Amino acid sequence: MKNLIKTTILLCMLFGANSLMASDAKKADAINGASVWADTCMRCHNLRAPEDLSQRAWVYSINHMRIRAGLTGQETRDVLEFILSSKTDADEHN
Amino acid sequence: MGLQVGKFMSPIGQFVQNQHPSWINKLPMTPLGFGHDGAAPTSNVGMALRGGLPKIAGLRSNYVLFVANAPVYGKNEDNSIEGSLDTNGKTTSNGAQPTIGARYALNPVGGMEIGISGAIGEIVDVNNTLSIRDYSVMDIDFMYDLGAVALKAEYVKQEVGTSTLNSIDPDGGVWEALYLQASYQFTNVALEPVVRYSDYHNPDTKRNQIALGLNYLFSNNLIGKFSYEFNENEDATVSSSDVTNNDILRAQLAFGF
Repeated sequence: MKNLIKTTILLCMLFGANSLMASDAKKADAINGASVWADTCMRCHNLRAPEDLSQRAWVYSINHMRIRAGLTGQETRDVLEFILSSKTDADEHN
Repeated sequence: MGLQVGKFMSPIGQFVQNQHPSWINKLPMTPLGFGHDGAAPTSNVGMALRGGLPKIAGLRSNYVLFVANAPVYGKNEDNSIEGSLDTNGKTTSNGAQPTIGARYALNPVGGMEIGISGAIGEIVDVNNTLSIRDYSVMDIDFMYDLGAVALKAEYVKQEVGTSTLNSIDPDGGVWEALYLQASYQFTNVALEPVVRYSDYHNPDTKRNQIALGLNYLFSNNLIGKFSYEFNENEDATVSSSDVTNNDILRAQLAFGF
């Protein structure tokens, strides 16, 4: 059992290092965000329109969905950029 | 990478952690064995590390690694099995080894996810904390969204080991469940028919269910659901009028915030 725990900790460190290397943050890309949004969100639920939530609520929602959908940090920023850029003038006050 | 600390939905499989909210679940009820006290673990108290991985050969994938307090086991006073395997997150392991588990999921094409997950550890008898048994769970899940058509499937198996210290149920047992689901969203009317087969076996019972549903989408997050469930207890000694053999009509209005 102790070996198993050691192995798990080692795996955590490896994954952590991998993710840190992958977190070379780039500017949010709305086009990639649209692709990730289309490929990922509908797997589980009906799509929510950008005007359903305020700008602030989308930030919370997308960070929650990052955990639920297993997105990278960059994919999360890209999807948020796509959602916010899709909001119309009519709901811009949100 | 995301870090969860405290109580969280079980990362094993996809139904419990992602499909259970009423506005997401296509039918009013969970598949057999995927609700509380079924074959699929419900929640954990512990720590989980999770997130997306950089693309490998152009494919997206994601992972979860977790360690959590051990579940508990114990027959009811009437020796019935219902609820005896308690996988709701506990604030203590009662001296048992913690549960250590992982899930890895691959997205071979857009809209598709294939996941495999499992965990091992120990489980403590609720009526005899000296009686600690081996515990394991494994799961395979599949989701594919083809636009109008959505397919989902999952198989889960939990195993409780033997106990030499407990005269009640010393042999442990296996809890396993499976579901297969297909749904179709019409484009010209806001209707969505659904069909789901689910099957649940535990040491005391073998049951299956075919559920037919029809949803009306007032909006993408306000859904009226109707379903008819054909239930069958596979144990021939159980009366056909037993509650586990009853067919059930359900209606539900679900709103997602």
